[in-house]
Amino acid sequence: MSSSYSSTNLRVQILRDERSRTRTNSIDPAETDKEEPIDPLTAACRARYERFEKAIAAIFPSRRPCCATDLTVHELLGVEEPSDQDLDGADTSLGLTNGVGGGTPVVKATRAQEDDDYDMDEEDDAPAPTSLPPPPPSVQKPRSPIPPTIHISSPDRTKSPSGAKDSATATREKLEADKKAAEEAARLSFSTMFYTLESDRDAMLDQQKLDESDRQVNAEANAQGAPGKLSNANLGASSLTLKHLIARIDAKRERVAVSDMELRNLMSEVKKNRSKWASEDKVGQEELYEAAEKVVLELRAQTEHSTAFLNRVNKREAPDYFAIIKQPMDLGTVMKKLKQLAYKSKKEFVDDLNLIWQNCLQYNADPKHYLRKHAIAMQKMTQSLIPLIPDITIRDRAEVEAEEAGAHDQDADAESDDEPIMTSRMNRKAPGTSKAKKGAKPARTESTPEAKPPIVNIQGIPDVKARDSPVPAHVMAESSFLSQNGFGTPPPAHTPSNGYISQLDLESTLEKYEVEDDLDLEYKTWKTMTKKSRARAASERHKLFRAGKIQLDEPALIRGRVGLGRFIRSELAHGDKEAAKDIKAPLAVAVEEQHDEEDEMLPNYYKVLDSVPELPWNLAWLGDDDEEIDKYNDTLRMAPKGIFTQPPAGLARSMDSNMKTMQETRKICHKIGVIKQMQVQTQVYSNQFAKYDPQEFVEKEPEDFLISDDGPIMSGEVSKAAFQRSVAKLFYHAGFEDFQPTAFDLVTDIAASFFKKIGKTVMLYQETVLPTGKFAPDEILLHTLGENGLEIEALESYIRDDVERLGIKLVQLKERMRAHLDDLLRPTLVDAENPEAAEEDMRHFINGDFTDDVGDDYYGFKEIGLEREFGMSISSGLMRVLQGRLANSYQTQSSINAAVPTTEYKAPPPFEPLSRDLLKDQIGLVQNFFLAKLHANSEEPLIEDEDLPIKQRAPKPRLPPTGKITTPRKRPVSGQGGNSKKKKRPNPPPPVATKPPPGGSTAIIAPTATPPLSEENNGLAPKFEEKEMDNTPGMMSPESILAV
Amino acid sequence: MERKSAKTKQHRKRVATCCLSNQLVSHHHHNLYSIVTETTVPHLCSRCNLSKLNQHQFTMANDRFKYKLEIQQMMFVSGETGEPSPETTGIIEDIVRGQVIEMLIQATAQAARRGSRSISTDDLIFLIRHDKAKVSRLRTYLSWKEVRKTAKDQDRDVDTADLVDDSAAGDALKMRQKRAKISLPWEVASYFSEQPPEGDDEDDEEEAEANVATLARLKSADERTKGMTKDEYVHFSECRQASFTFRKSKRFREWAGFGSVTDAKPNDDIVDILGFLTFEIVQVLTEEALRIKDAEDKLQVSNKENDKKRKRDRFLFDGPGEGRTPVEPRHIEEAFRRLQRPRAKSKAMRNFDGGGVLKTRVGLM
Repeated sequence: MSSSYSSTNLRVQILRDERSRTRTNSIDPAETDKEEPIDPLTAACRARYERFEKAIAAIFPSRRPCCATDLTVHELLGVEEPSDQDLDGADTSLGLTNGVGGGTPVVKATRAQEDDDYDMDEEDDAPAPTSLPPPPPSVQKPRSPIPPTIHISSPDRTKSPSGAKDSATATREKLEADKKAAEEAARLSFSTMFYTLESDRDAMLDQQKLDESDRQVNAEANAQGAPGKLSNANLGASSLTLKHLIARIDAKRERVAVSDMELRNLMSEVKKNRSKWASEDKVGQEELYEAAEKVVLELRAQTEHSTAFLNRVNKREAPDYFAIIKQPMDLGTVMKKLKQLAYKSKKEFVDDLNLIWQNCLQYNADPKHYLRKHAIAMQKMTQSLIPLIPDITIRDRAEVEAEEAGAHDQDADAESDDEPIMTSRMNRKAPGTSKAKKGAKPARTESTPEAKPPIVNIQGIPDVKARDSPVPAHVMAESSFLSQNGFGTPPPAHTPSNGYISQLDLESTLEKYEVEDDLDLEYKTWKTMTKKSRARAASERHKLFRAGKIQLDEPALIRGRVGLGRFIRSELAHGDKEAAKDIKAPLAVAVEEQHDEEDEMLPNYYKVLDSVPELPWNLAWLGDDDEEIDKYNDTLRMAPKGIFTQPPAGLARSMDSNMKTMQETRKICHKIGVIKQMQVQTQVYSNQFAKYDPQEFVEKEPEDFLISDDGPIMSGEVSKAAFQRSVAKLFYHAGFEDFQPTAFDLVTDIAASFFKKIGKTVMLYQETVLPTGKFAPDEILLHTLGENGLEIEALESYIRDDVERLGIKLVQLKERMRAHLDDLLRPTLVDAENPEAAEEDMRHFINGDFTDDVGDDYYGFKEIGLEREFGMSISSGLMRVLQGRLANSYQTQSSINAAVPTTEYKAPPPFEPLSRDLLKDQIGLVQNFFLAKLHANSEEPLIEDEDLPIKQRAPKPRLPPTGKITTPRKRPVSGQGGNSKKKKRPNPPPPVATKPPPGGSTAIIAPTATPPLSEENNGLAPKFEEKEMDNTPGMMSPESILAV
Repeated sequence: MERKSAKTKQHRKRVATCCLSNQLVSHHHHNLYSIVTETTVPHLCSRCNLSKLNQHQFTMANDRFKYKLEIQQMMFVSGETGEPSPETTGIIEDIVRGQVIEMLIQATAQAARRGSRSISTDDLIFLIRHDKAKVSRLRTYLSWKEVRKTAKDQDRDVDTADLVDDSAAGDALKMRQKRAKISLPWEVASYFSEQPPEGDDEDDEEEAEANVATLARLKSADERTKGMTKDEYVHFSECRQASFTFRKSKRFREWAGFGSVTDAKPNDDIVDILGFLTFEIVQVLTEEALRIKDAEDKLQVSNKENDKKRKRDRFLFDGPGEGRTPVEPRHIEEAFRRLQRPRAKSKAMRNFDGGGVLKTRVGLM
C-alpha cells in the first residue's frame, strides 16, 4: 500500500496493458473543440506523444500480435532526437509529456471531459493513430452510446421537479438508468486515467475505522438486552409464515450463539419480502427506517470527513467538551437509536443528524479549525441526503386502521409502498452477499447506488438542473452523473454538484475546496467509488508486509476465480486465443458465468495476480480441494536413502563388530553377576535381576521425504540427530554404557564445530588457485588434516590401536569371560556320572539365555534336600549351582562321599549307659570318678554325651580348619585360671559319664593321654576338674550342685 | 644436610659429596660391596674433582639446587660423558621441578573432577596416557616395585615364620611374585562390570611394542658398558640408581612443594611414580640436548675444516686435544624448547577461530 509499491515498472506495464485505450484517449485532447485553435504547439506535442507511445512498445516488446511494434529502440531514439529539440520550448506547459516521460504519480490526461469513443474500442486500430491528429470532427460522433442515454435522462429529470410526486416510479427508473449509465461512463473514463496507490492507505485506515465503528454499534445494541423472544421482535407481517421456525428458534434460543440483532437480520433475509425494520404494529416504520439507515450508512461511508463523527466524543480527548456541548451526538449513537427504534419521525432523525454538525461547529469555534471543514462538508452531505427520507411519522396500525375509512390517495401510497419493498429486497440481497463473500470477493460498489434511488423521494434532484443549463450539454450530463453517483457511493463532500451549494448558502466556505477539486473530478469519483475495494486490496497487501517486512506466515495471494476470469478476459482482449484455449473448458465457463459479477473499478495493477501471465510452472494443482502437489513431477523426487546413515565402510564395520562383541561380553558379565549374587544370597526372587538383553545397533533411516532439486539436503535437525547418533556410537565404542545427555550434547556440538572447520578448510583449499594450478584432491585432504591438527600417524594409530587392536582385545576378553562363567558353573559337573552329557547340558545352559527362565522351580530350591540324599545328578548339580550355596553344598557332598567308604565296616554297638552295675568293669582309676558322677546324677545311668538331648550337651569342641589344636587355646586357659571354671559352670552339666570305651576310641584316650594343661578344650576340662575333685572327695562338684 | 656436613668437615666433605660414596655403600651390600674398594673411591672422586670447587661455590650461591649429583648421574646414564656444569644441572633441576609441579596440579584437578581430594596413581598416569611407551615402562616399574615389596615382606615373614611353613609360604610367595598387572581404569577390562580372573594368555604384544624404546635404550647402554672397565661399570651401575626420590622422599616433597601444590598428602606410590617420571624427564632432556650438541659440533667441525690451512700441526707434547665438552645450558634450553613445541592437536579447534597465539600450560614431557 505504500506508494513505493507503484514502481515505475509496474506502472509502465500497466500502461502497456491499457495502451490501446490510452492511445485513443491521448488523441482526445486534440479533438476537443477548445484546444483545437492552439495548433502548432499541440501538433508538436502530439507528435512527440506518439513517439513516446511507440517507444514504450519497443522497450517492452510483447509477443502478442495486437501489441507488437515494428520499431526498435534504436530507431526510436534516433527519431526522437530531433523532435525533442523542436519541442523544447513547448514542453513544459504540457502535462501529457510529463506524465509519460517523468512518471509523476498521477497521470491525468487533461482533456475535455466528454467521454468519447470507448464503445468503439478501436484496439485493432491502435497502431494506426501514429498518423497525426485524428480529425476533430470525428470526436463528436464517437461519443455515442452513453451520452445519448444521459441526454435522454436529463430531460426527464428536468421534468420531474415540475412534475408531481405521482411520477415517482418513473423517476426512480430513470434514476436507476442514469446511475448505471453514469457508472458505465465512469468506468470507461477510469481506464483512461492513471492512478497511484497513494490514497490507499487512507482508504484502508478509514475502512478499518468504519468497520470498527460498525462493530461497536452492533456490540452496544446487542449488549442492550438479553436475548429476547424472536416472536416478540418486530419481524413484520410475514412472521406468520415463519411462525413455526420462529417458535422453534425461541425454544432453543440459548443454544443459538447469535445475537438478537444478527438473528433478526437473518430472519429478515430469509423472509425476503420485508425489511428488518418492518413491523406489523407500526405503520411507516419500515420505510422511514430503511431510508434513514441508508442515509446514516451513506454519511458514515463518507470517510474522508466522517471519521471524527463516528463515535462519541471522548472526555479524555476533549475535557471541556461536555461543558460546552449539552447534548452530544454522533453517527454511532444515531445508528444505535435506529436499531432501538427510537425515532418516531423523520424530523427526530434529521434533528439528531444536524445536532452532530452543530455540536462540532459550536465546539470548534475557531473558523480555521480543520474539523469545521469536515463538519460543513458533512452538513452539506446531510442536506443532500435528507430529501431522500420519506417524511413519515410512525403511527400505530390501530390508529391508521381507524382512519382507514378516509382518503383514497392512500391507495396510491400503498402502491408506492409496494415498490420500495421490492427494491429494498433487492438491496438486501446485495449487502448480504457481500457480507458472505467478504474477503473472497469484492463487494460491488454499485450495489449501494442501485439500492438508493428507489426509496428516494426525488425532491432534491431538480435543483441540479438549475445550474446545469449554461454548461454545454455533455458537460452537464457528466456533472449530473456525478451527482447521481453521489447518491450511491457518495461523492466526496466537496464534489457535489454546485446546485446544492447555492441552496445551502455555503459557497463562501466551500469555494476554495471546489476550486482545487474541480480539476480532478474524475479522480475523485474514482476514489470514492473504489474506496472499498482499494481498502480491501490495500489491507490484503498490508497483511503481507506488516511491520516493515515480509510476513512469511501469511497466506499467499492467490488468483481466485474472479481473478482468473479477469485474466482470461484480458488475454482475450489481446486476441490471444491460444492462451484462452489453454484454459480448461469448464473453468472458462465458470469464469464467463462470473463475468457479470466481476466488475470492480480497480485498475489492473491493483490485481497484480490477475494480470501476470502464466509462468511456465512445473507444479500442478490437482484440484482446488486437494492440497496435494503432483508428486511425480520432475522437480520433486524422493530423497535418496542412506544420507543420514553410516555407510558400511571398513572402519564402521569393524567398530560395529567391536560394539557387538562388547554387548555380548556384557551379557556374559551379567550372567556372572547374577550367579555371584545368587551365591551370596540365600534366596533369589524371580524379578530380582532385570533381564539384560541388549539390542544390536541399527541405524534407522529417517522417514521418506521429498526434496526439490539436486542441492544438498539442508535439514539441521535431522543432521544433528544423525550426528548425535554417531557420537553416541563412538561413546559406546569407547566403553561407556550410558551417558548424560548434556555431555552427549556438548560433545556433539564440539564435533559439529570441528567438522565445520574441516569443511571450511576444504573449501578454502578448493578455491585457492596456485600459479601451478589447483590443489589435487589428496593434497587438499592432507592440507586440511594438517591445518586442523590431525596427523596421519595419529589417525593411523587410532585405527590400529583403538579400533582394530581393541577388537582383538575385546574378543580375548570375551573368551576369558566365557571361560570364567564356565568355571563358575563347572564344579558340580565334576562328579556327575556322565560328564559328557553334563557338558552338553552345560553348554546348552551357558549358551541359552537362562535369565529368561529365571524361576523358583527352575533352580530347584525345593528339591535341593532330596538331591543331596540321592547324590548328584546332572540336573540337580546344575540347580545347586544356581541355588547359590555352591561351595557349601559341594563340601558337604564331598565329605559325605568320603564318609561312605567307612560304612563298609560294621558300626560298633552303642555304648551302654553306665550304671552302678557296670561300674565294676571299668578300670580302677576312673571308678571313683564315675562313682561321683553317678552320685551326682542321682544314681541314674550315665548317658553318653552324644545321646543327650541337644540342649544338655556340652558345647562341642570345635577344631580350627587346620585340624590343629593350637596355641590360641593356651591363652584363655592360662589366663583364666579359676575364673574359667566359674564360667564353665553355668554350662549344661557336663556328661561325666564318658565311660572308657572298650575299644579304646581315640577320643577318650587322647584327653587322658595328653597333659591336661597342654591340651585343653571344653570336652576335656571336666576331667581335669574331676581330678581335682578326686583330691578333695568331700567337696561336691559344682556340677553336682547345679544338677541337684 | 649433606652439604652442611661438607662445609664443616673439610676432609669428609670430599668423600661425602663425591658422586657415589654414600650410596655405594648403602645400596649394594652384597656382591657389589666387594668391588668397591678403597682404590676406586679416589678414582671416582678424582672424576668429581674437576668441578668440585665450582660445585661448592654454586651450591652456596644457589641453595635451592638440591639434586645436582643425581642429575649428573642421570645425565651420565643418558649418554652424557662429560661433566655437566652446575648451571646445566640447575636448569635441568628447575625444569624438572616445573614439570613435577605441573603434573601435581593437573593430577589434583583431575582428582577433583573425580570428586576426590587426594591424587591417586591413576590420576598421575592419566596425564601421560598418550605416551604409551612411557606408560608401559611405568607399569613395568610399578609391577616390579610391587614384586620387590612383597618379596621384602615375605622375607620378613619368612624370618619369623616357622620353618615348617616354609614350603607353603614359598608357594604363596611364588604366586604373588608373579607380577601383578597394573590395570588402568581406561583399559578394556574396565568396560565391564565383572573381571575375569587373570589368565595366562595375556598378550603382551602391546607391551612388547611399547618396550621397543626401552630396549633400544638398554641396548645403547649395553654398547656403552661393553668397553668399560670393572670400575667404570660399577660407576655406571651406581649412576643408574640415581633417583630424585629413592630414600629421600621427604626432601623430594619439600623440593617439589607438595604442601603448597596439593592439599592431600600424596602417598609413597605417587612419589615413586614421580621419581620414575623425573628420571625419564632428565633422560629425555639429556638425549635431546646431546642430539642438539652433536649437530652443533658437526657444524663447527665443518666450519673448521674450511679453515684447515691455518690449523697447526700437532706435535708430540702438545698436550691432550680438546676433549668432548659437556652439554651446556643453552643445549638444555633448546632441548626444552623443542620438547615444549605445541602439539598439532592443540590447534584443532582453533582453526578459523582466531588466536594464532596459543596460551598453553607447560607441556608434560
